[in-house]
Amino acid sequence: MIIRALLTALAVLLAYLGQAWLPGILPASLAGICPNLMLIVTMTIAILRGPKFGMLTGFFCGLLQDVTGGGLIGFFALFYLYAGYLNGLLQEFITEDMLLIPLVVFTADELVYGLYVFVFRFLLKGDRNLMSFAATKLLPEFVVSVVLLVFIYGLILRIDGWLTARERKKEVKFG
Amino acid sequence: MKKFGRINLSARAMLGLLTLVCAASLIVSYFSSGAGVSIRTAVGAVVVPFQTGVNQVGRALSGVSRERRTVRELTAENVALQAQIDALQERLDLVGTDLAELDRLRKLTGIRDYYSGYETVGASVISTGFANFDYTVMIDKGEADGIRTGQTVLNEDGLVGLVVSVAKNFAVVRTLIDHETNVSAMRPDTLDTCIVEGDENAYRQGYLPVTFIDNDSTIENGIQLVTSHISARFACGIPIGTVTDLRQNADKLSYSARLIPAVDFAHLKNVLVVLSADGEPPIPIERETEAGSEAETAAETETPSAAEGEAQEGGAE
Repeated sequence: MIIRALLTALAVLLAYLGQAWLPGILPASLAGICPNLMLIVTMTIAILRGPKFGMLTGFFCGLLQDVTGGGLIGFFALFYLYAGYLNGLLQEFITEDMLLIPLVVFTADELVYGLYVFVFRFLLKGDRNLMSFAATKLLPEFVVSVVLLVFIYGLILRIDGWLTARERKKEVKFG
Repeated sequence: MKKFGRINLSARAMLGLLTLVCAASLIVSYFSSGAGVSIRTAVGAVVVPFQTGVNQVGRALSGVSRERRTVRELTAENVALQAQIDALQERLDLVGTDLAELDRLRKLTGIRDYYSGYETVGASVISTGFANFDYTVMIDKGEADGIRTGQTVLNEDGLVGLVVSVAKNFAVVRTLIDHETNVSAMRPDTLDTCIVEGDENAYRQGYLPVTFIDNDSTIENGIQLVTSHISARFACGIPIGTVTDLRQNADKLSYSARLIPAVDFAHLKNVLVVLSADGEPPIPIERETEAGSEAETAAETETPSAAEGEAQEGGAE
């Protein structure tokens, strides 16, 4: 359990650093577009480990984003908290070999995320152009994120499998 | 697996608890910037060292590819540079005498450099462009170095933005191109003002929109705009960019234009934070007319209030 918690913390930290670093090294045509690694990690861990793990991961992802951004503290934490919890509820219905499910769930997450940001960051400031927001910000972010999602989901799935196998071995020993 | 029910139940309790934490921190950070500092400092303490490290690795990696050049190339470049140094040295000598003269004339006329009087602190950018709708950068100096929310940030080219949040050892700067930024700008010699709007979509095409240019304004294409003396947030007299594409609005009551920013926001590295703009009140270049002297007194009386305004939490003007 401790190893799992540490690895999750590491995943959150790496997602954060990646998100801060990737826009700088992506090709110039994509300059300034960063993938939403935080959402990828939150969703992946939530649908693999359930609501409790998911919401904690999400909460800390959001908190990091809040603290290092200029806005109010708690804005993203609140969103990722619920994203982690709600995605975590799907754990019971998902088996690991359904590879299409993460893509569908992530698309839904990204849509809700876009709407959340649009309403609170743009609409309330008087910027009502949803189409422009979707085309210039949400869509590029979504495309870059989906490409990375495949790899990150695969990686976390593997590590999770390894950890589960390890825990089972221990249980057998004690039993 | 007998724990499963209990975990489910406490998951809901945990959700409620964390929701309360989020709501509390939202409320607290909305009403008090002081509490925000401690939360940011606590979380930032974990992240900032990594961030600085990653940043250095990134710079080193991009440096490696640049270092792969042949000796012949370097020698040729060296010769060219040496010639350039000689030429520049010559010009420098000339400029030196000009500068001395300029200094003397400035003393005579009482005109001072726009922001030579500002007390500034240098900082490095350690992270840029975090989310796709927030055009903020993180700098490696914070409250411990005297940085406060609302201070103006510039670099050698001109205006970068405004400090929007601080922690002990880092701060977040909202850049000029962020959609929440609006800057009151002016033509430095005639004091005609206008508004420069942050707009990241426009910036991708290389410009920022300029609005509220009066019909009788002297702002025209090719003029360099600086931050205005009536701005309550930005220190006065910092270059913002050059006006192009000036055209009358459809209502024939005002003009709008495009501004080519002086700063390259894609490659921000070192910035200066203006700690205090009230050391030497920046006096815009004088005009002979009455309007000029009026405006000048307005500028002088405005400066203390500008400093007060800076202490408040930064938002759009």
